[in-house]
Amino acid sequence: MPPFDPPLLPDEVDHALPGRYRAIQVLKSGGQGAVFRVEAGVDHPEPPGTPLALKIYAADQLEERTDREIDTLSHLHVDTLVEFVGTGRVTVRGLPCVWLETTFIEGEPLSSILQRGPLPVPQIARIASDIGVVLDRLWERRIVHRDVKPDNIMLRADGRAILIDLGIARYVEMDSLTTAGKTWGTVGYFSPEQFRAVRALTCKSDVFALGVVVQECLLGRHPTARRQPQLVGGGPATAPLAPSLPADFCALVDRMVHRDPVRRPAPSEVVAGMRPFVL
Amino acid sequence: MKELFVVAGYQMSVSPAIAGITGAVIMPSHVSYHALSHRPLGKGHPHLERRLLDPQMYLAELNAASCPLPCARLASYGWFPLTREVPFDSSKEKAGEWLKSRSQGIETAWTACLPTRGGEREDAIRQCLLRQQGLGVEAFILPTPLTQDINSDYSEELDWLESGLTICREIAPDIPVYGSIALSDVALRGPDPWSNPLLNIVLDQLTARGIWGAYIVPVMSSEDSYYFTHPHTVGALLRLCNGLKAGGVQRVMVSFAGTAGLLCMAAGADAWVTGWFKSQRRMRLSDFERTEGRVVPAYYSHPLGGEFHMLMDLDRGVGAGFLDRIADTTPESEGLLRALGAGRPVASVPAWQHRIGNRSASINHFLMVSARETALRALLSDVEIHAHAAAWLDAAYALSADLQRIGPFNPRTAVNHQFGWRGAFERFGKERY
Repeated sequence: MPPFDPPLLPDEVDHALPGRYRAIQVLKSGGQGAVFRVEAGVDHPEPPGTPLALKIYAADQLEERTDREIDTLSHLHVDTLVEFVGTGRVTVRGLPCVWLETTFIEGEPLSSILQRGPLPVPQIARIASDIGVVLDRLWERRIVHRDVKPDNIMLRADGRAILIDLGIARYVEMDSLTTAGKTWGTVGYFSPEQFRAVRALTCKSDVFALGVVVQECLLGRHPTARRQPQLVGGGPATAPLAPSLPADFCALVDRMVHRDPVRRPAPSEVVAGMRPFVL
Repeated sequence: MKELFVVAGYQMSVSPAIAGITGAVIMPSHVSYHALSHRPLGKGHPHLERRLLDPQMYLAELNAASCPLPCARLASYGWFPLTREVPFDSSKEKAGEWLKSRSQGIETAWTACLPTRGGEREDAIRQCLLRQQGLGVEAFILPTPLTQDINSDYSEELDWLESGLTICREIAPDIPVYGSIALSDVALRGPDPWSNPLLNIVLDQLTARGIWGAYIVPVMSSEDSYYFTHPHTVGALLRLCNGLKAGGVQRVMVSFAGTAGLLCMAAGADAWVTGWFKSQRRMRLSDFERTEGRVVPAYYSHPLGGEFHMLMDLDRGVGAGFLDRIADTTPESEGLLRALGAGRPVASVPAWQHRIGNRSASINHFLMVSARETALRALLSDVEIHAHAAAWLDAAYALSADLQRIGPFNPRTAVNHQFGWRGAFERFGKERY
């Protein structure tokens, strides 16, 4: 039984963190927690009315490294990554929970945009480049995001793609990462090594997921209908996914979804490789 | 560029007649810091103009009770954890006297542990890098512990690597850096090297970090030979070299793999490190528990990819009509081969007679061949090196198989590894990047 069934309600948040927020709206609700759009309230360090995204997770314990990573992320500033604002612990429905605040990004999730069909190469290259920059900066700090997917990418009105998830959720949603045979992420975007529950992942795992996102943008749908076993040997060839794709673009994406992380480009190579295709 | 480095220990000299040795790697287990620091490195030893120092942190768990001399030498460098200082005062004693006296009772100072307590590791790495810098190395080799468990997540080794890279940036950002990989063959010989989970992690993690160089030390635990014989072990070395280069590592150096290091050049290795003595060709921890023993000559035949014991085996091979196939001519072997060709036995050539300590010709010949073969590979394209290695192994295997028909031989006569090497290389040809 998930800890929050029925899903958390705005009133419960207001009750748990009185005075911190106002205008609480549910954005997404799941078994392990929920995401809200809120505005800073009178007791919040940000100016009143500042829009924020608030995530609340049920979690009875956090690993020590979570605190280290949160500390790292709180000092990380990348134009295309949502910014960390604050975190803390609270009891909701008698359960120990973790809350996490980030800046709120106005825009449309890539997942929703893709429901309308494929995107042109220049726009896809812009998305890949913007997210590649984030992955590069995270890996400089040896952080692997593990959950790059269209749901976590927001497109702003100016065309820039923003990664709206800090990737911290893996620690609170599954504190048993150390247990062999388990992994964290989203089915359909696991790299082959992530799917094998290899613990010591690198940025190349995130590059794989970004490659799948690129292929999804080309097709307008997931290239394997999120059938993870079909990605065990790497992603499908890129060239047949859309007509008249540039050969260099296809070669780069093919490398991104290669089964072997050694063959995948580093995030910085993705950024450089996508640049010629951005309008 | 393909280069040959030799192992440098207390004995550093190389015959001036040997051309083509690029540089040397100083091994702390072979020479104490106190002895090393008084050597005029480079002067009189041209091959030491380009030098590296292997920190040998993979020896941290040596048992000092059974190998006191190597542990005392290692302790003198300052990056292995000790329970007490082992001081050296050059005004009161010579380095040799220090070693002799301090090795007695070293087991009470040597912890046989990695430095892991708060800050110890960083202190050890810093000391190690400053020592290397002081010795004028052309690149840093980062210390790393020995990996023996195939199920390791490699996290401890990565902690060492990360700390090392950070400290390098602090103290000398312009000096190139080799990350070290020290793997026991116990973790290599079991699974198929092309799906070995440990190798998957090592390759992914090292290439993702964009390191400049990789220094590979295979540690022989499950065999007792001059040569790794298991195809999985050799295949693992080939895969490592190939994967590291494919992943963007600029320079790969293989140490203590014997002539398998030369083979690794066909998989992308840029340099190999060797010497003639057993302790310079393989890294086997139990070797430190005994001295090298009585050294006798051996004739290296590159066509065979191995050596002949000189007491009877070479004469038997020649007597069976193999001279043309095993001949490997260098200035050092010329006289021997001429005598054999004239029907005279090995014993008629003083420089190659089977006598204890009669080793100069064997050493020089081996290093000349090693330098010659390295130089040859430096002239070839990658495709040509691969074809050359394949042809070499095919012929060496056929030769070893033919020789075995007139066996048995002394164990020093190397006719058992060629089959495994050829198999590993054939597989490499199919799986390589």
